[in-house]
Amino acid sequence: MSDAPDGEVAGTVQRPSFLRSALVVTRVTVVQLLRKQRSSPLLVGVVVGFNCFVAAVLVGLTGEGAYHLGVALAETPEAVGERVRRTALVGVVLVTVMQTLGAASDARARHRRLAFLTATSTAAVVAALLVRRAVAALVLFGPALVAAATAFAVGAGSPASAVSLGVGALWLLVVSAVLTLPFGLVANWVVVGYDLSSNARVGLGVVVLGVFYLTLFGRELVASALAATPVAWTGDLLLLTVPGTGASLPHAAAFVVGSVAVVGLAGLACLGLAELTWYSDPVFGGTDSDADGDTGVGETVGGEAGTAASDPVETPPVETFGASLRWVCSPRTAALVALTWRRTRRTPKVLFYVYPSALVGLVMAEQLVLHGPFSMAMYPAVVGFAGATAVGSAFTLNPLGTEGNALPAVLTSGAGGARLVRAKALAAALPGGPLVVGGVLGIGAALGVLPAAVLLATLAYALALVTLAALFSQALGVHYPPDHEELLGGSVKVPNKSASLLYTVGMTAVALPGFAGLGQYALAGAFDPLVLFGGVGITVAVAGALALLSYRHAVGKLDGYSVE
Amino acid sequence: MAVIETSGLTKRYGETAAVEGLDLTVERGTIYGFLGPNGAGKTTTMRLLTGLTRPSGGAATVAGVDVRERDRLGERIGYAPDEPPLYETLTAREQLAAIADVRGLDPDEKRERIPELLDRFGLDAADDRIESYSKGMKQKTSVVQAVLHRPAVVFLDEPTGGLDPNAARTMKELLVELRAGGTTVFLSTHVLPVVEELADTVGLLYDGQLLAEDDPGALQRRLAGDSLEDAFVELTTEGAAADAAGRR
Repeated sequence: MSDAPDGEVAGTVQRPSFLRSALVVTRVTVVQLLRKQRSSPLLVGVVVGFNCFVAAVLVGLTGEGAYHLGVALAETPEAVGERVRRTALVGVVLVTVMQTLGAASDARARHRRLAFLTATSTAAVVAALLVRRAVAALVLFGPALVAAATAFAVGAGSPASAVSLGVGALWLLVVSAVLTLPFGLVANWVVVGYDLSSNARVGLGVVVLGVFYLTLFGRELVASALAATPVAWTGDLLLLTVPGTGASLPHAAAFVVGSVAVVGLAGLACLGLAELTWYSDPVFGGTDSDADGDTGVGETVGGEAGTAASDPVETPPVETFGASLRWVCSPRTAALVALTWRRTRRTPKVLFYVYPSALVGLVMAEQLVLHGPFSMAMYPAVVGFAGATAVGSAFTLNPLGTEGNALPAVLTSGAGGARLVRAKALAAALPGGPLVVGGVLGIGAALGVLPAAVLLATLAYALALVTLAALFSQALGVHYPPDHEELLGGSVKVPNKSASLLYTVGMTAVALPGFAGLGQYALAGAFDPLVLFGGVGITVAVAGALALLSYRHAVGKLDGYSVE
Repeated sequence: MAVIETSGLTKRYGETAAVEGLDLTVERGTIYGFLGPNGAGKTTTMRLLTGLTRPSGGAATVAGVDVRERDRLGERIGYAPDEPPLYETLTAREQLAAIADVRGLDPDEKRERIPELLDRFGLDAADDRIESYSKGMKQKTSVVQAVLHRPAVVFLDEPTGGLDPNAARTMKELLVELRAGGTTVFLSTHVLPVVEELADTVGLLYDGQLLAEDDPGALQRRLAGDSLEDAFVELTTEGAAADAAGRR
């Protein structure tokens, strides 16, 4: 202080340039992202495993892939070029639609990173967010794309091919990551600006998923529609160094220039939209809690539930809410079931991991029946498997974490582990079970030609899997998140990704024999009782035994749970 | 008659002992002020006594129940931790009714107690979602939740934190009433005047060990201080801690 010259405010520092600020914030943001990934062996495993899987498919280890296309290049270069162009178009569209989902999540108010904004500009934070998204996309998909480009070059005997294929594919990833952020900001602006509840956020997610599925199933149509547009020049960029494919240098250059311009425009749009979304009045909406210095602004509006803090609540009295359940279970268990339903209705975020099961079901239907060898008789089995898997994909996958801050109240209520596990299982199975059974019966009836034995076997298969789902997911879920004090201070957690993955793998393994038995009928049009009932019988027996073991394990873990 | 008894109660995290050989006796129908500097192990002790955390060694019973039997223990205790254990998307009325139902409280008693306690604490926003509450309002809801079922022992961690003077007075009146009704109140707080005014016994925890235990007046006289604050400061400075450990 004493060193400050007269008239100069002591402690004043020169504001760094935008570039310097952006670099600093970007470095911190990216380092945080990479450390987060590195610090979790499971997350590293998932990223590496995902890359290996995608790489194996793209390279051609599981069927025809980049390597085989490379081999075919010498004989039919034009056909190979055309194949690459169409694949690139579909890939760009699918990745872009997927990125929009992530963008809607990345653009929430809490990503303003207030700590940075007190020291630097919004533009620097937006720039860092864009780079973070690009890096995340490159980490998740980059190695697989580079492997595919390399495999193509090896197959073609043309090392130069790998250059445009690899660099071009990575550039397309970056472009899609940047282009989609404005969408995410607009989505959040709509949700926050119009004071919509978290249900609306989920609704938007469902719409985007719907677009994703439509694109997935109509990929040939999408590729045809885009073939006459400048988007098709992606093919020229990718094929630029691939000999004999007729790639146009002007088109490739135009695409690069155009995409750079679009990326720049998207960045500018992000800046404007970020100002609108992150600093609008509703985001800073005054509540008592703000006045008392209680929760942070982002926590109130963009936090756990994302609902308007002053939403009037219109619900039936609690004492009547779970009353209808009391014929199924004890009043105390019924109270826990009713509590879970009410909270799920207000925090649908816990249903997030239901969507992969829905995706699996749709992909199975598309791959096995629509474009595969099975008849429509396979649909009920697909509904039974995917529906049952979905039943266990919500709050049962994280019975501790989804209690959030209230966990100590539940644990010290004397309810006990057994009652908690039963309540969570019922909360999932009571609405989910009838939906799955209804789906199986409804589709079975609509098909009209299924023999009663096949329909009954499918029904038993679905019911066994629903029972297993509600308990097996809890047996896995009690291990996630791991015992940690943070659990008490954190908000409601969505099910852990690793738990979701293990659960899906386990459900698939148990479902496989029954699926094979039912598939035999869908394939041959006539059923062999031994194969049908043998397969379904194995699944039902294993599901029953595993459900019992899961129940015991989950209860034991909950009873022994210690807040550390 | 002792309602809380611990013998050599210990909780270790690896090499670090959060609570070390704690011997504690708390009589029925009293208010026990549990003091200690930050990191002394107060919260860990409360979690051990409420069954949330498993002890590494020693024994403890609360209302005649081993703390390892969490389900039975839960029927006899109420706990309001520092971080209010509430479902943010419920209203206070829904939260209290839900926990009362989970505890198996008689429906008539529930219908009587919830409005009474809400009214007493002036929780006018009982039908708004908890996520919109201030820290003080959450704290009130948490305390009401802890006492709703008339437990034998109530554990309160900083119950007056974030409360305005009116609510703090209501809270103190409630604690005195609970004591009069035979409930034991185990109170952890940094607000020493509250302990000085209400507590029958004060226990001072330092580095996971009980340094001193007496009634507030006796503790002051013993350490020749003018107030409980003086006694607290004297005991918890490192040199005093060593002296006190030697005296015990």
